[in-house]
Amino acid sequence: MESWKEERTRSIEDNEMNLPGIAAAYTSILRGLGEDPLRQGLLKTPRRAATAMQFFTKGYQEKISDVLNNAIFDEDHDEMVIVKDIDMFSMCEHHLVPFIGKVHIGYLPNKRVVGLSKLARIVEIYSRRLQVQERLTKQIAVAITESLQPSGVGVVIEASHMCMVMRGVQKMNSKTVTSTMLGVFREDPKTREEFLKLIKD
Amino acid sequence: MEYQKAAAEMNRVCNGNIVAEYNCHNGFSEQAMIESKKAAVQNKHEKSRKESEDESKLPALEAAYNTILKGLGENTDRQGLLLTPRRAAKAMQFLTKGYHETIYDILNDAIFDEDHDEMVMVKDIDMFSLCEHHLVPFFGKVHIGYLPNKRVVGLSKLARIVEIFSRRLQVQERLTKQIALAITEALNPAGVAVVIEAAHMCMVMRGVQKMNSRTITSTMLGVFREDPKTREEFLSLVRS
Repeated sequence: MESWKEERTRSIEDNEMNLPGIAAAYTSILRGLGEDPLRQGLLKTPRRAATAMQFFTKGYQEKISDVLNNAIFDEDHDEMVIVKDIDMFSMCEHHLVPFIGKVHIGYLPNKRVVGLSKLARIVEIYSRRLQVQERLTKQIAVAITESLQPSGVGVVIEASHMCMVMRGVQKMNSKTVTSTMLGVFREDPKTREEFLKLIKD
Repeated sequence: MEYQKAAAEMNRVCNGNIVAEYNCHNGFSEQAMIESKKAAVQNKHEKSRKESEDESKLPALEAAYNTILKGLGENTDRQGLLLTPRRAAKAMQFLTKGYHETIYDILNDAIFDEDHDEMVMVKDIDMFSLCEHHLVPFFGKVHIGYLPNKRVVGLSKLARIVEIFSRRLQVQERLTKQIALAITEALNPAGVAVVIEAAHMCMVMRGVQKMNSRTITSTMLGVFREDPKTREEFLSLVRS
């Protein structure tokens, strides 16, 4: 379990250096699938696909501390704060196919609150990686816990996995829901209930 | 003729092969149009990928995916990623399995002579395809309508036609046209209409990042193109 102080594993220079190699890999994938990489629509596809893939994994370039350092405020507030319906796009690490959904985050501050968009930025950092939905949920919750030391954190993710929808079992309407409850959200059923009720439409 | 012109435009890039004449190997050859009343079985059509070759292509695809994972800065020895190159390669082959199949394979037996000349519509056909520019999915719904001319087709075959053309590296405009032309060439109906409404992940997950945008394309052939009332009937039935 990475802490929020984790090391960056990738830099922008790394991206530029690796781009040709990734693009070449995509060219051989196109050939392997029976397509003609020289036709007009596919000419620049290896490069576009490589850049797109680097974008989908840009979470590896960022650290929580970069995003949060200046936006933690001392506030005498001890009621629940919820940011819900945060659109999330991630890549399944097993099939390299997207899974997309919504993240709902709630926390009970303990004298320190965080800028609201920073919660969405934490979601971005961890979701733009090769992920497993369970791990993503936990990483978001742990990052908030370690940076704010709140009384409790609750994170719920509801997502649709293209690897299940577009291939394999092909169940169009299935959704996967995962949650992580820490602190009072785990210990006190009433707090948890309030959170879960508020995030339902 | 309307169909030949439309087909000729489309056939310049037919399934990855640049063809000079109207001889699209994964649709119908010119002969078939003329001889469409004869059994279609006799015509042989090349597929750009044979299903039997998939196994042999797998190692090359796996190696490519391994390179990609390393290039992205990931650790390919960690548990979650150990078998990912193989899974991703197989997934990609599945998502492009349309290259295996031709219309003839699926339509041969399901065209029936029926004295029906009212509109037939199959709508809300779920469609999943891959954008050929970014190799990222786009998905949505296809609505198909046609006016039979003494020949009707099995309804699920319309959905199968969508599958064949959508499980490829595609551009939404071309996909719409290929579906419409395939139905035209198989049935010779009085008219065909195809409308596709899709969300493109290349626009939603990256680039401009507009979550709720939808792209709509349509192809109207025959009476659907010429007669505004027919087109209107189709479009209002799609909306309802």
